[in-house]
Amino acid sequence: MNLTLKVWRQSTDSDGRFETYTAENVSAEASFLEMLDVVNDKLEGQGEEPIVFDHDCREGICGSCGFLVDGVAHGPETGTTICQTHMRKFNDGDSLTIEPWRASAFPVIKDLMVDRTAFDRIIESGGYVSVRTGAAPDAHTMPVNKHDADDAFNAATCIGCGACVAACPNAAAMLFTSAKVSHLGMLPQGQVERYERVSNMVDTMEEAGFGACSNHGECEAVCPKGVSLNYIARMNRDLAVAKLKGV
Amino acid sequence: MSWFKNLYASSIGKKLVMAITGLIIFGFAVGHMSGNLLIFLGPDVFNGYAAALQGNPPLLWGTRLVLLASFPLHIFSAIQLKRLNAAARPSDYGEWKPQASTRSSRTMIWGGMVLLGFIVYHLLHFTLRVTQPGLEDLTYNLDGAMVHDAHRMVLMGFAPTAMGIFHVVLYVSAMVALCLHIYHGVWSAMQSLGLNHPKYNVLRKQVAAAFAFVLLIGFSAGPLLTIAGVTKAAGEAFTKQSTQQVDSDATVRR
Ligand code: HEM
Ligand code: SF4
Ligand code: FES
Repeated sequence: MNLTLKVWRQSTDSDGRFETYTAENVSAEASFLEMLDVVNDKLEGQGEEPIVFDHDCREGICGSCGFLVDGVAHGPETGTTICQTHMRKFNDGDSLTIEPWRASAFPVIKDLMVDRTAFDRIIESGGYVSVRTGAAPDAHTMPVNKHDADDAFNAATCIGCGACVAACPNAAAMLFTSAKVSHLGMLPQGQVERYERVSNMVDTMEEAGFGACSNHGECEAVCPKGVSLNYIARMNRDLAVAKLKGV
Repeated sequence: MSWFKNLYASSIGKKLVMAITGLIIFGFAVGHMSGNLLIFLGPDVFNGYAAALQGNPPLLWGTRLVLLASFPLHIFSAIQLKRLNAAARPSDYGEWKPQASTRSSRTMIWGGMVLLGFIVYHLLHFTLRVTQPGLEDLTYNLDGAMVHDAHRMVLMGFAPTAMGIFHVVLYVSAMVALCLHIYHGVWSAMQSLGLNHPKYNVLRKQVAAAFAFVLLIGFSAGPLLTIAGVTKAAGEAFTKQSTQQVDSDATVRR
């Protein structure tokens, strides 16, 4: 199949603009990133700069990839990262717009690649538990009820891709932060720092320049891991308690 | 109060204030709408109800003070959040397709502005009575007591004249804005307050939608049915029926 791509090109110091490219003889079996690889080979052959995009595992687990395709973060396939989206999802002759995440907390490094170290700072500020390490304890030494275990696990599936921020009209990082707050805060091991954690992580999130939640639900809709808005409500509750306790 | 300052410093705290004040105003709106519906029971009932409110200063001023505190807090936090959000997304996408948000959720600030403008006009119109000539000194003889004729005021406000048509259009459009604001707002407030449970999450949206719809119909019924002449006719029919009832009760007793 043949496609027309309208791709955002931006170097560190310039303002950026859309450039149009053609992708020819694209296999329906190719992944979206493989399609871009082919376009890049051609660009390099012509002595042009390849399109820069972040990627690593290409199997939907590392959280490196991500950009908007036709106005949707990670493209049209729901519950799927862009690296796991295949070209059979598109039609011959399609014209696709490809844009980086846009948020003041995620400055563009180049083209489609953005700087997500703000997420690392959020994790550093509370993504840990103070427990004695050593050999792994037996799984049944600390009982965890099934609901909590499942909820904590679902929160922990967040891969930190940043699509939630990209899709949010306010560029808020509530879904990401709430997932990180909850996956430890719902387990017995995470109780020691429960309120400090939510307080510090929310403070760090806001210092980084992410927006506020308007409960639009765009984040949940594009999240490749289906992280639920319920975690945001839970984080709101925990933060109110934390601030009441003066943490 | 330092806990409050710390909480409010975060956007989540601002949302809590927004949610609590929004729900307070919403609660008032539901009460106000229910009271308004008494207009269809004629001047005796409606003016009696209005006089009872006026004759209860603790209730009247309690409500006014709570609302007077809630509105500025609601609007102030709304503007602060709006500015924060604009700063977080300085450049728009070339193309962005909504996946889950609604027209209602994306127009909260504009709908809010419309409501604010409407509320100011509404107070000038029916509370201070300075925008429409003839509403200043309407009195009604309620079993010998002279009270304000709120019933007549509404009939005049939505009379089939140019001004009445203007008022009907204004009031009903504002209620459409209210409906949209509540459709997202009531659900959103529950989420902001952390009131969620997997079992009831769908119900939250349905409850918000139901309230939005009831408020739209309940508030719009007054202006629309008044200009159509129904309010007056219904009031007369009800008054006649209840006087007959009183008469027949009296006959039986005699
Ligand atoms: C009849 C009057 C009003 C009622 C009943 C009302 C009710 C509500 C409720 C219940 C919410 C949800 C709070 C939350 O999301 O947690 C809300 C949100 C909001 N209200 Fe109002 N409100 C009213 C008037 C206004 C006015 C006058 C403005 C000001 C311009 C305004 C601006 C907003 C905005 C911007 C939001 C959403 C903010 C966000 O989520 O980012 N509202 N309102
Ligand atoms: S919550 Fe979902 S969209 Fe947001 S960073 Fe985690 S995986 Fe990505
Ligand atoms: S490249 Fe690892 S998730 Fe897409």
